Amino acid sequence: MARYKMRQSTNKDVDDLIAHKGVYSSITEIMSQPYINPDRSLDWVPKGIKIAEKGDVLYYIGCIPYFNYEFDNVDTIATSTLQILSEIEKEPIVLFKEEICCGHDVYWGQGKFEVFINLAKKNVDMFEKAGISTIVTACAECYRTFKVDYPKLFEDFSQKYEVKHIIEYIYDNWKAGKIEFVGKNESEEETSFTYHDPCRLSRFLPEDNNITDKSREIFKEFKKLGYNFTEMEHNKANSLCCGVNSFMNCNEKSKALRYKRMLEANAAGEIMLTACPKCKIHLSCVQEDYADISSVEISDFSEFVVHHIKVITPKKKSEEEK
Amino acid sequence: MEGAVLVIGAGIAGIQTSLDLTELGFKVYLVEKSPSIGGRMAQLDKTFPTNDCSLCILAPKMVEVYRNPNIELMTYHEVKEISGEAGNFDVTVLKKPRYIDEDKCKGCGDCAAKCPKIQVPNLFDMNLGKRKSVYIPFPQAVPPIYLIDPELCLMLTKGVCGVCEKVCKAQAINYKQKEQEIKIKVGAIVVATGFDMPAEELSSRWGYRFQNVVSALEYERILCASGPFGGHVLRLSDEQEPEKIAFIQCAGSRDLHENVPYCSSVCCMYTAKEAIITSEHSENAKCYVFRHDIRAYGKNFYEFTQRAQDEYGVKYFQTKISSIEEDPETNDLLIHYEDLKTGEFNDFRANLVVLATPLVPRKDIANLATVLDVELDKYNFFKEKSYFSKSLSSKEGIFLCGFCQGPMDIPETVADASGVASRVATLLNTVKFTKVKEKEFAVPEKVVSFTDEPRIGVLVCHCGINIGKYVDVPKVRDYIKSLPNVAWCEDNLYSCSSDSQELIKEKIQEHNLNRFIVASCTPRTHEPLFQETCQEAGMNKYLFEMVNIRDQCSWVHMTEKEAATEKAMDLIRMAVSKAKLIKPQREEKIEVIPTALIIGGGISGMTAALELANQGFKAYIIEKENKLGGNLNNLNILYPIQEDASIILKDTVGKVESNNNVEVHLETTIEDIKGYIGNYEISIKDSKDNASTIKTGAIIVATGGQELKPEGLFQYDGKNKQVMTQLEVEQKLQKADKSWLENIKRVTFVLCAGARQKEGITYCSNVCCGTSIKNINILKELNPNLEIVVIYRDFQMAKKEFEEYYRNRRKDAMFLRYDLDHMPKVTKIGQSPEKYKVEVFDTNLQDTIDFETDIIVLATPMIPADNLKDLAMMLKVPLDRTGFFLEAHVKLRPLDFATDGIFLCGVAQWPKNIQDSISQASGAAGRASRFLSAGEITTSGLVAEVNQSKCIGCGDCEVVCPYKAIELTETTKEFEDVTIIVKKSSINSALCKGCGTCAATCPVGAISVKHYDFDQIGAMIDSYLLEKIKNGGST
Repeated sequence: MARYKMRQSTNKDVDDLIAHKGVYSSITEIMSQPYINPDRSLDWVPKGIKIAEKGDVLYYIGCIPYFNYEFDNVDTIATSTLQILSEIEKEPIVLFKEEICCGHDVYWGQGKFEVFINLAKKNVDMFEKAGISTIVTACAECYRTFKVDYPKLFEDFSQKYEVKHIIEYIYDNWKAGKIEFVGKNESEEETSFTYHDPCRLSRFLPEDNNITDKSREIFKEFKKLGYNFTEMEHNKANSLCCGVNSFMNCNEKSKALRYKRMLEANAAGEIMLTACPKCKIHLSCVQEDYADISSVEISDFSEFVVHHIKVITPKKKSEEEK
Repeated sequence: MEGAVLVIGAGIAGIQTSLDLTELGFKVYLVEKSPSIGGRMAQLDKTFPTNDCSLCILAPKMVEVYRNPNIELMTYHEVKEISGEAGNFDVTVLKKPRYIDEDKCKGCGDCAAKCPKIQVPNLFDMNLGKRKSVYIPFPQAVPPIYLIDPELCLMLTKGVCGVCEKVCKAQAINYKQKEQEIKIKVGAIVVATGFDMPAEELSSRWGYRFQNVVSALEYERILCASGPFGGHVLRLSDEQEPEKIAFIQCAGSRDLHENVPYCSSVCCMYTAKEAIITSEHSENAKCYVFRHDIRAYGKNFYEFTQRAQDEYGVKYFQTKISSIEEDPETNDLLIHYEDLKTGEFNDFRANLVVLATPLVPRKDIANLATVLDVELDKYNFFKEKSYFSKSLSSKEGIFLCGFCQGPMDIPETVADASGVASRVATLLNTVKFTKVKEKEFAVPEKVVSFTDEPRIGVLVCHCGINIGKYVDVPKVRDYIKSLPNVAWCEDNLYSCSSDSQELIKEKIQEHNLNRFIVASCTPRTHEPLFQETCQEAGMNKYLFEMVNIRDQCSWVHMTEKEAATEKAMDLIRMAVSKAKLIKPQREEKIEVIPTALIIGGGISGMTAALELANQGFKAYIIEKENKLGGNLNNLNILYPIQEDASIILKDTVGKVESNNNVEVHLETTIEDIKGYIGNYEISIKDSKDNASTIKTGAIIVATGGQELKPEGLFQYDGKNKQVMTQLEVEQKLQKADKSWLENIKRVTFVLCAGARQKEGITYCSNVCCGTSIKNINILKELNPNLEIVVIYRDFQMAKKEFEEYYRNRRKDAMFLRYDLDHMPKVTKIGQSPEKYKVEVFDTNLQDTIDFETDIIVLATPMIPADNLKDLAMMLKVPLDRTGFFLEAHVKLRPLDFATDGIFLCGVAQWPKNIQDSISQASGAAGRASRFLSAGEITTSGLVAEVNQSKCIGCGDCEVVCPYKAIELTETTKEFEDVTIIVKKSSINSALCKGCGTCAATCPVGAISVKHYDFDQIGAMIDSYLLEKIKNGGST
């Protein structure tokens, strides 16, 4: 809302601060129009994975298909998430070919409240038509928007839809005994890894939300697979920022902040996980400029976990019980 | 010494040399006997091989001449008397009476509109069009001043009428005007009188007396949109569209009976062009070309003639014309001809015949030669001092330029003109800048602040019928008039004409305009002209905007007038929205280091270096080999002068070595080139790996070329000793030991070996035919019993001396003609001694001939020098499709690159002979020395700028910049608890061409291009879309 207020109260040109000449927010604004139905390519969906237009579980993809015009290595977040969902769910996962934006960036970044409301209405319409009850997303921003901001607009939103980040989704299934973590680390020595908490999954959530703890519980479980979880100096709600959000411009201060974050990551582990596509993009970007932090492998939670889950079949489960 | 030059003739040669001379620091008196400058090029419709509108590319130059404060334009003047010597000539010029006061005439044309005298043929339209007795030769004439034809005018002949005097509001008519003699003093004289095309002098068998037989120059006027038929292809007898048009090549040229023994050198190309344009103009017309040889040896020329056939369906016949007769009933023409492919005599009925008649020296050339006291050659062209100094006349201080010296096309003429300017500058080096004045704008620039209300003027151009026929210009005008902030809007016939410039200035003053828009053709050719006009009216030139409604509307929507009109309105409205936001911009001056680097020490490089050195500039030659001379080292005898190549080689090398201003670096390579025009820093490395740097203000590329080694072709494999290339035979002939010729009975020359193919090397490399003719003659002289067979396709002998050279040597060999459908076959039939069998289908005999031969000589094409790609990368200049360097404009900027400060000459640009290489090298030196002489350059105000605080140093801009104008600089920055190195983009405004690629790429919007910033572009897009939505259109 900061920008919304800025737009309302000062003469400062907010559009000047929007990255990529506002091309992404322009796409968002166009999508908010009632007569616009984007025809997204679903070519990225791996062969053999069944998807549906209607069903129970929706994978809300987010901006990833638009990012990949500008950034490499973002598609795998979507393919990994879809893979995880398909392995666990019995029914085909719902994907919207006409998926629009959740509205996060126009709400937070560009301060265009009307656009946000229009998008929210269109989204809810789509959810209703598809008859879904669960929304899973791998994007921290989509998650916070659906979890916190949509219920403010639609009273019954929380009753109708269960919103889960992929971390929660994995956690719940693991706790319910539907999946187990497998796949030992191939290197002989233990690999240390750390986790960068996206702001939207930590300090930007209500205090009763415990994704930060759930993620750590999962990470501890990885110890037996040969991955040792280490915290960075700043963590959880106190995490350092990835530099910028909502597709606003970065600058040298933001760069300095990211550099500092990467120094912490470098000290903590060989791999740094995060759970927000933008965090991954921003932190990978700063690695290109500074050699001393370039060795840390930055990976999305979904990209990491997809190699390490196994669905426990009921039959096997009953054998174990015997 | 006088720092002024007399240029006689104001065609493209005279125009270019005059413009270059003023930039080199000389005052020019440009004398033209006709009422307008422009010459032959102004009469042409389009130019080959790019099909650019001829006048469209010429008119800006004409206007540049008109505006140049250092050119005194003397049209309708003639040179009467000359005395004195090089450095100090006294010239008497005769000013013929126009009967119109030049200072008063505004070129409005009211006089011509009211002139009662019946219309007479217009000479500019080759007598096809009509004019009154008071007239202007063509709408874009420079100067835009009318004149009265004293032989027709009723007032001047009979003392009655006087209508024009009554209607002229400017009171410019003066029936009492008399001839006037003007005396001027000049240091040098350039003769550029061009050519005539007197079809009426042809013998009767060509049928020119018939109505529907026209000369090619007449046909140019017929094709031209501003010509007598408004661009419709019509024949004269009935003004109907002809369906079958026959183009006859070599109609009278290369013909001893017609007294024109030489080849006019441009007809093959313009015929292909005219046939292509005809096919584009009228759907029903079918074009047939009756050809002899196809002489298409320039860049993209041969391919152009192929396109005429393959893409436009123009049919070529290889023929000999017997006669052309008229069918009196239909006025059709019957062409009797011998088909050289079948040997049969046939008749062909055509509705219209276009004759490629010979181009000959101007009719009055002998008189001028007497006045100048210079010699003519046997063809009546001006005689050059020596074969390799074709721009020097027989008299010192008098120079020759363009077609008056011998046949050449426009780019050769332009190169020649720049070369002449350089030669003049050498002669008058000590008096540069003594007679010139700076261009001053009389009206001081008016300050325009962003708070001032925009007052926009808009001029919408009809461009004759070019736009007016396809766009409803009055409707567009009325619409634009209604837009907010448009303070003035009118339409007119030719916005580029000089009178329009006056109009623009007048309106800017009258309506207190602070922005101006012209909606006409392309800004590429015309923007500078209008910008200067605005400047003359006290408006910053960046407050001018141009809209291209010709290419974007009338050309692409030729069949949809309504859509074209709507689009024109949209485009101009968008420009109006942008114009409100444009700001005045400043230009900076950059100092130029007065030295030049020449890459390549062949004849071109050495000539360029000497030209510059003689003008007092230091020249550095970088040569990769261990001696100067390049390909000249490998040559034996030079044609057509039959002189030992070592003579000119030794002479030139001697001059280079003894000149203190030339520094030669042998066995040296270029490692890196940094900088920009005026300030280059070149890192070089010699054979001992010693590195050093040279600082220069300009670079001339003279990297030459090499002969193609045709591996695998016609038994050439390096092992077969008696299959050799032209250059290899040349080297053998160079040596005293001629024992290799003993026991040789027959030598076979295969021409176009690996050249002019459908794939691979598609071009003609210009010099191989001449070299072959030279070598067969030398071989024959060494061994008169030797039998020589030449297998050829077409003979490229297009210089004035070449045809005769070829004719005299034709007896030395047997000539067999092949074509691409029947390639000759060579098989080896003997190892020791080597013997070959040649099988060839001779198209003249229509039969396959096979014979044995001892030696095979392959005339292979010239290809670019090695490793040009690396050099091009360092120079940041482009190569063309064939690997030669690509000049800025194939027609009018043959020696320049698009990147300022770097110039081009010799074979690096295209295969050419030594004479042309020398001429081009002088030209390139002249082009470079314009900057070196001036000592400073002015950068454009239209460049990209980085907002340093926004820049995140991602480097995307550096990657995409095509001119390598962007560098990243690093600075260390401290923050609260961390210190990092921050990169920032920095743009060199001397190198930046304002293309805007960086601005579009920058992710944070830190870069904006002046005059094209995001607000301005955004305003244009908004203006378009908002209007569409308002009108309910879907987006």
